[in-house]
Amino acid sequence: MKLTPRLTLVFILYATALLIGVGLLAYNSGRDSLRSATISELQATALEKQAALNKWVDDKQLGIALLAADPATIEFAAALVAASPNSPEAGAAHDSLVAEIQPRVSGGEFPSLMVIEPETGKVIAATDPSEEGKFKEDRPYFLNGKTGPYVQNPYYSVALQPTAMTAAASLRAPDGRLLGVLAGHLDLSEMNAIINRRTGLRQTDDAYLVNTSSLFVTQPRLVTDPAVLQRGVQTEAVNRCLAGNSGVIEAEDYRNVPAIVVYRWLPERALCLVVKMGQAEAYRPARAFGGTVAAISGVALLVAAALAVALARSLTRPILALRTGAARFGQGELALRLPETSRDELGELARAFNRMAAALTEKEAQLRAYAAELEQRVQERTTELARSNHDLEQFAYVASHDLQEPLRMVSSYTQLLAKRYRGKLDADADEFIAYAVEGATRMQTLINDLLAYSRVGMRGKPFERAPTADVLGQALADLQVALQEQAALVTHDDLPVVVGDASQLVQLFQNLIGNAIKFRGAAPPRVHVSARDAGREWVFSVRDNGIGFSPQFGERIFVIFQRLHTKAEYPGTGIGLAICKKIVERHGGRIWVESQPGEGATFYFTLPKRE
Amino acid sequence: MMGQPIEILMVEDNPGDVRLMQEAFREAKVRNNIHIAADGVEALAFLRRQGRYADVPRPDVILLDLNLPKKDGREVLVEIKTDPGLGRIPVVILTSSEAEEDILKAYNLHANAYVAKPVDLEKFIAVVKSIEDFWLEIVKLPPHGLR
Repeated sequence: MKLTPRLTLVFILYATALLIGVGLLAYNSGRDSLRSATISELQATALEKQAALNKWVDDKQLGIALLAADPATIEFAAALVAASPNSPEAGAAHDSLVAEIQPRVSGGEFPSLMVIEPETGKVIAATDPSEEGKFKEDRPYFLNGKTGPYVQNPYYSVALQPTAMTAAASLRAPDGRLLGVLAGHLDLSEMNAIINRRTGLRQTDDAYLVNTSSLFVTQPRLVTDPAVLQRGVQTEAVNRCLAGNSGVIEAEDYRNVPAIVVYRWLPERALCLVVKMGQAEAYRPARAFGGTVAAISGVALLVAAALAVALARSLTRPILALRTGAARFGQGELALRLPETSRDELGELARAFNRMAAALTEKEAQLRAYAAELEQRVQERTTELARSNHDLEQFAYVASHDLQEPLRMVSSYTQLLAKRYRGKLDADADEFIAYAVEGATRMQTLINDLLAYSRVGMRGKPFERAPTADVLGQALADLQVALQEQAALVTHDDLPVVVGDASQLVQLFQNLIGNAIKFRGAAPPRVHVSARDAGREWVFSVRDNGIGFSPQFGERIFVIFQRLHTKAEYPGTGIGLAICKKIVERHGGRIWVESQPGEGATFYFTLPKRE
Repeated sequence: MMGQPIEILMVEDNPGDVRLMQEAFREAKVRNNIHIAADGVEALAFLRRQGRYADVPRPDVILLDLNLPKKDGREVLVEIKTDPGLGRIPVVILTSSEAEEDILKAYNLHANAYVAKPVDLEKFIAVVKSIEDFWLEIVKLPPHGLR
């Protein structure tokens, strides 16, 4: 991965993690605050409703007590109790009593009131006539009402569907005798109103009461169907509450909607008060805040990405410039320098590169200077060597040339001596003269050879195009007599046109083929000449079936006057191959030989291709 | 054929070669009178019968060495060949040089023959013999009286 995207990625990942972390922290802390605030609010509401409920119950209890303490009520009740049943007095007392309590019902304080006979629990007077004659002897409000004011918590009443609350108080004669129990059902819609009373601008707030049978006692605000009151409610909050606890829980409500629920067990009422609010509403500000944070984060992230790209570019641009510069420098642009624009580490890098480049350039210049100097020295040495070589050849040429004159004198006069005085002097003189003649003759041969050898370098002709087939033909023509005498057969492959000194090349072939015939074996001499294209040069070979020689002499035979045989075996001075070597080397080629004793010899030489 | 001896002018500074030439003519049994000029100036004086050479015979053949003191063989050859009275006398260049350019130059200057001095005595004698055969017998030269 390249540096720019990598840096950018790291930067963006870091920024993303940071923003997400901070965002979550802010969101959670906001949410916690909201939760605390909501819970406080809900608890306050719960307390308020509990207080209101208790006050309402107390009011009802006080109301029934006041009515039971009313002298008129007591008087009529006493009269009713005192009168014999079904007597006119009884009927009058009953009517008076009903008339006495009726205003309380009409005033809306109690939906209905009744007076219960304390011994039997029989309703002896009631604002609702259908209640009269019924027995309430087992009702808690009857039993408790005999001793004092009492309000019975919501209970199921077949008559008062679905639930009912009843307040009761004892009717006592002035002497303290118990006359009866005054009981009044409560209007639960009032309780409903208390519980459902709402403040503030909330939308999903709700409060309701649940009794120990897990049944709704008040209508939940968010359910309009009154039938809900016959249904049980089994939420976590209600279950905990009915176990006698108070607290807060975030859980699903009866509609399976997540809510923050405050529940209070009201022991005096044996009821569970639930006040709750939808989490969605409670946390809406947090959500809005979260959205804002997310939006800001997104924008910040984009800015961070842009910054990251810009930063990465600003980092990588000098690095790329350095890389490109190094590559170009490596390809030989030694004058190349990087701009030293910044003062930071990258600028330092560029400066270091430039210092290195300068040092390298200097070294390179030194190297070039050394190389040039070396080349010049080699040139000088070569020139010197060529001159010394030329001087040597000149010397050999002049020496051999000028030696001929005195040698000719020696040779001629010894021969004259031999001719004139053989047999006329003594035997010793004859022998001495013979040796002198022989020595002079041999010296003559050597000097001639030396002259021929030095002429290769001194008297060479300019190079020109020469078809080697013609060259070979000329050499064979010169050797014609020897070839016929020895019954030799010379064959050749296709031969190329080369560039060189034709007469020297003739001499080269002549010497090589002449050698092949000279050092023949028992069989008639066979010589084969071929040439091979080796790219920049031609490789010629001259193969014979002669006596051959041991490979250890492969070098020696090309040295002037070096011979492998005595004069008695094979005549000669050992000049032929030395001249061959000199001719080949003058043409810029190499010469070598491969041979084994008795297996013939193959001479190779190369001639460079020239224009 | 052996009538009067051949008159030969040998232009040669080396007494050894002079003597050798005389011996070679002797060995070849050629009747001859060899006149010697040791340098080019003397040779031309001889040919033009100047000074002490007033009574010398006109040579039948000139044997001319190329390397001579005072005036070298090439100059002498040019003077002979450009002199109308001498131009017809055969000139044999006799030298130890076998260099091709020397030979070519000599022929260009109208030398009649070019003979390298052989080292081998027998060959030398053969050369001398051939000079006699070729120049004094085969080639019909203009008679003396005609000039």
